[in-house]
Amino acid sequence: MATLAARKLCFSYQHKPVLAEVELEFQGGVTALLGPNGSGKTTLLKLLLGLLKPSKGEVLLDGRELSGMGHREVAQRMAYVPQIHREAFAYKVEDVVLMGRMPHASFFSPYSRRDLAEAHEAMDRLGILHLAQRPYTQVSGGERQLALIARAMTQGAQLFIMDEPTNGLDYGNQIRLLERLQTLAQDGFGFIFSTHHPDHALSVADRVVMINQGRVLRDGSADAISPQSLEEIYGVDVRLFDVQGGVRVCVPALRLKPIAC
Amino acid sequence: MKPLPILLFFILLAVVALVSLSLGKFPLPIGEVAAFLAWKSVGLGHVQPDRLPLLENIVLQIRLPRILNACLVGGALSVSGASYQALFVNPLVSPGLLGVLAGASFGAALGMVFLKSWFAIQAATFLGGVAAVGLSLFIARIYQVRSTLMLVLGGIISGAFFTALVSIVKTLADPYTQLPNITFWLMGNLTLADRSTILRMGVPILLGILGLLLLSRQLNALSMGDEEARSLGVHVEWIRALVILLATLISTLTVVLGGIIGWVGLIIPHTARMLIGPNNETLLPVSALLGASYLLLVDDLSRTLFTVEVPIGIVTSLVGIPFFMLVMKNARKGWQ
Repeated sequence: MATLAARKLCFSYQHKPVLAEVELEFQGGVTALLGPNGSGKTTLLKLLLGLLKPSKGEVLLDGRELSGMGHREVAQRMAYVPQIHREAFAYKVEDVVLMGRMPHASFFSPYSRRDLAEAHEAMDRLGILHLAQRPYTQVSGGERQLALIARAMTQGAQLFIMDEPTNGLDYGNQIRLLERLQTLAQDGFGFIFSTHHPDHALSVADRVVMINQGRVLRDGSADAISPQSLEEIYGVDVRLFDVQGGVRVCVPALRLKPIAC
Repeated sequence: MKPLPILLFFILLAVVALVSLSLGKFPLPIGEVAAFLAWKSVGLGHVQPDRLPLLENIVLQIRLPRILNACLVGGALSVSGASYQALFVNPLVSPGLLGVLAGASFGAALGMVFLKSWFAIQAATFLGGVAAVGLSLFIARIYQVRSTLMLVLGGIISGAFFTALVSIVKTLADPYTQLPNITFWLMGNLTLADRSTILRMGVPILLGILGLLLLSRQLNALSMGDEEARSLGVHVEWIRALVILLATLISTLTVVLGGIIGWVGLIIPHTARMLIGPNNETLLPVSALLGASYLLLVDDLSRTLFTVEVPIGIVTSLVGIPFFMLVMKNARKGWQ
């Protein structure tokens, strides 16, 4: 399992600080990153991926500084699963998943039989093998997100960084994606994902990192999600309820008012 | 990469080339041309000995260089167009995007007015194209924002600037001798390049095409967005620079070979994408072969349609516009 650590990580954009002194360490499991718009979630994920260079501090992947590692080497350990987006080119699902073999394939030779087999295996594992020949742009948002996860698996990465993976998915696909995430986590894959839904964090994350204005406010188990911490970062009144079997749900006070009256 | 479509389009090109070799003011039977080529290259087949000097002269001396020229120009324009379209993820992109054709026109026009030797004119054409792309990149850099939009804007500015410079050179040119030459060149004309020019330009063009073909997987990743490509292990800046360099190089060299030939770099990648899908691993080689076949056919038209040869750039535009309208109707398949 890859370990990823942020040490005194700072980032400024046009002299305005976006992140300050972030200190985090990840070792597998599912980590949810919560924070309001503009809190620095996406910036943090991009810094962890090495897509942005820190203004100060460093990111360590398996104990080595990220900026000193080759792009391919990084890609073999850690994968980026972007938000679903409209693509201009209608690549086949299989072609998109095959891109995950880029860090392994040599520069000049075409993808090998083995590369294709790896891609098919990942698609099969995620139940999208039947979509292999379909255009990536014509499958549903949920299937597209699964294709991107399959691509990440094909990279050989153990740690997946996802930027609001449920964004743009319908309700059913959001839940199916979270289920998938949970299964993969049990198989040993690590996830760091940002989300706007505390409920999603409560349902799959074993660790929650809350950030606001570029600083880590809370870092701990899912218990970090409390009415106080949610009020603190979002400025709204939210209640938490334990329903049967220790399942915790998050309900905005807005919905409780009519009953209170 | 799928070998089958590439092979099919290669056969298409071979057939079109054979037909083109037999067409002209002095038509030859296709069978005789094929037999002659087979005899000449591998020593098989039978050719009537008294026809040999004639075939030698027409097929090898006159028509073959012209056909190689059309193939090189068509292939190069199509591959650079396809590469630019993948790089900028935009359907309206053609090889002229970064001002390369305007710059090369300026270089050629300037050369025709002020330089004597043919070689110097070719060098000026090449340098003009490179200078225009250099200016686009420079303009894009001034704003410090590294975005493709800035690059495109830089290309528009650079293209407009060099187009204005071409007009200046035209006003300075001698209206009886130099101006007609410049005008004919800018219309696109495959007759101007001689054998040695074709050989001299052919090698770098083929190498440039090959280079772009080798980058096709990286191009696939790049078209998903810079960050995704980077996270897949691609050196985004390097690959982008290399693609721009190679695409610029080969499209400038086409101006040296045939002046300004429009539309090919726009419609061929579109058509190829419609036929075999957007995966650049197959799309780039197929674009090269299809572009070569297309320009050969258009050149056949321009050679044989009228008693006076029509400049090929005019024919590519006249054929290209309705063709493009037809293709646009189905273009959604490749782009959405």
